[in-house]
Amino acid sequence: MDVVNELLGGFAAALSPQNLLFAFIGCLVGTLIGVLPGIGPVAGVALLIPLTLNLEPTSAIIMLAAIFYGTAYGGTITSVLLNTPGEAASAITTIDGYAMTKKGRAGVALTIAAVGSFVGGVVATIGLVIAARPLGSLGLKIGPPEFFGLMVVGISLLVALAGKSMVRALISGVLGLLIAMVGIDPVAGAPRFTFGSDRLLDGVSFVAVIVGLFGLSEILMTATGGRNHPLTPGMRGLLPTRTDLRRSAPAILRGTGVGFLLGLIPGMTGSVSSLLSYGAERKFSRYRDELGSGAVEGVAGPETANNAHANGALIPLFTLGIPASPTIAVLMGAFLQQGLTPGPTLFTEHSEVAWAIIASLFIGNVILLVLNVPLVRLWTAILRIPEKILTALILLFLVIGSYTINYSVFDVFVMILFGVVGLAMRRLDIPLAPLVLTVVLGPLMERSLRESLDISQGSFTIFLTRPLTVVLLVIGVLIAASPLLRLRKPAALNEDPET
Amino acid sequence: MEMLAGNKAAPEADRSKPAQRPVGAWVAQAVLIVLAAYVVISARGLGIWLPQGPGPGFFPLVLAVALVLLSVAWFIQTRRAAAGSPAKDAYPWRRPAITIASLVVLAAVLNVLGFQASMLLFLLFHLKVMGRRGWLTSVVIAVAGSIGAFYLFNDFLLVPLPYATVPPLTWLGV
Repeated sequence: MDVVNELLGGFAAALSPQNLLFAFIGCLVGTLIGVLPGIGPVAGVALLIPLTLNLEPTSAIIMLAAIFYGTAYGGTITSVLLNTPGEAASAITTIDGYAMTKKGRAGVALTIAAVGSFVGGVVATIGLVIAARPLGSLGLKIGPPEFFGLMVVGISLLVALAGKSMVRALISGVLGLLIAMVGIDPVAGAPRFTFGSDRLLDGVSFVAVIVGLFGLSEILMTATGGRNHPLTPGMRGLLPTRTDLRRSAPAILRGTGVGFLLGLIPGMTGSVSSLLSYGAERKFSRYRDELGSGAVEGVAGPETANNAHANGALIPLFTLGIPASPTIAVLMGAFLQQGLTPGPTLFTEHSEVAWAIIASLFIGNVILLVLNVPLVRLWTAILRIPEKILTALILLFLVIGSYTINYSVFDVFVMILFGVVGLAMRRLDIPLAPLVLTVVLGPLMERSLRESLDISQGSFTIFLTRPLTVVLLVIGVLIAASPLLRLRKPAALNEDPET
Repeated sequence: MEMLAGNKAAPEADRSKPAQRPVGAWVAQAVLIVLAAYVVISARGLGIWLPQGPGPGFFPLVLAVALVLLSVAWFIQTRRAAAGSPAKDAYPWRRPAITIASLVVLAAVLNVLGFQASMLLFLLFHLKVMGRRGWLTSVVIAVAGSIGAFYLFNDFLLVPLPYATVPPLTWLGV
């Protein structure tokens, strides 16, 4: 009963006019970011963090979380209408989604994707509600040594985000940790790598780093190529027929299962879920022969999986403080900027905030469903804006976003510098995801290690005498060592465009 | 700052490379090792071990050592991979370089000319010169993106953006 009461309390907070407005804005902006080429979910969430710093924590996180899952839906729109995925997790949807558009059934494809996303998102959020209580009660047992163990597990996951080359992934992770070292050190108070500048005493702003690495470098990469123009969407009726619904239902169910389960595993990205869900349709669907030529299952399955994944991936963040993907790492950064540490302690220290955010996930999924289908025409209009104009406008927002972090031009320069670094990393096939993970987790790991050693007066045995810490450290080491064990990754992971 | 110089050099190095020489990767490896050397020197100054455990320089030192080892491993990998792999296409570095330069200029004058004037010029440059849009489109979007955005953020979202600090513009109050 307790959980129900707390969830109801969360709904009361999330349904306040102010929070409802922020959830709505978040869904709208998130969809826009998903639709726009050249700006992905990572940079999108990071860009809006400065604007939320003046809000109260609940509203800020509600809005950023809405942006996070809104982008997933925006990506679908471009996949279906343009044959160009707005973000990686929707790539597989292009196959049948665009085929449906060519048959004049774009409206149906988008509606089915919205319904599937809604079902997947709601089921995954119910999973979060069920998992929150038992895992949250762990919070009372978590001291600095256990927290250190959790952070070790989190950082070891960069192995899973490695992509093609483990060496280059580790270089990326080490660079992230070094960036995190800049500023006043957490125990002795010594300034580190500040080049004598007062501006760096608080460290390098992680928002400026992320906006540069993901936003600016993306613009610099794509500044050379052109892109498709949207077909006039075949809007002969937005509503799916009864046959469409009957055929989608099993695909949506399978997609929910695949997406939710993979979302729980840190290091799996949404792309893997949608790829595997498409694979499941190819194997189990009764209409598998039609896949590739505009079968509704080819949209329903992957799109459901991708949204179930996005919502399911919040479970490790909320309950363990482990960000499962680069976007969630940025979301975690937003929590930290608001003075909230995601993880087991969140439910003991800020339980109202946590439950309001969970309730807002349900509300956000409803908003997306209601919002997106009628607004499809607006999104197609945006896609007709010439690329050069969009580039100029995105640059405008990158500058405003980085300036407003501290109202200082310094952060604009940091953003530009990391745009150049990001461009070099992309050119050299160094993955960006590990850097994001370590920039966010590095300071937390160092602080908890040194706090632990303060408790034990410098003795490392504190990590061996507490059972929970030992278990976490062993898990972390096993994950980190997994490439040495030559466990073969599924092929889908090696081609994962998000890493 | 050495990271900036080094990484800027990488795309340019690509341009002049003959087939199969991963110059960009070599430059990056050199930059990483220089960075690691700098970290090691600073870390020693910060104090690596204190009586109550690791000092402020401990983690940076460990990371710098790791960075050197990883860069060397990467160097060996690139040497192996370079043999027999086809050369990548020359990277069209001009447009990104101009974009970066325009951003640096914008950031440098932002506090002098103020947000409205500097962003107006920046957007005009990107729309008219880089984007080859017509005058009407360019001016309308540039005004909306500079003056419009200023009022949106300053007055509506209560996020202050910088005003000009040099005379002719300060009289206009922009």
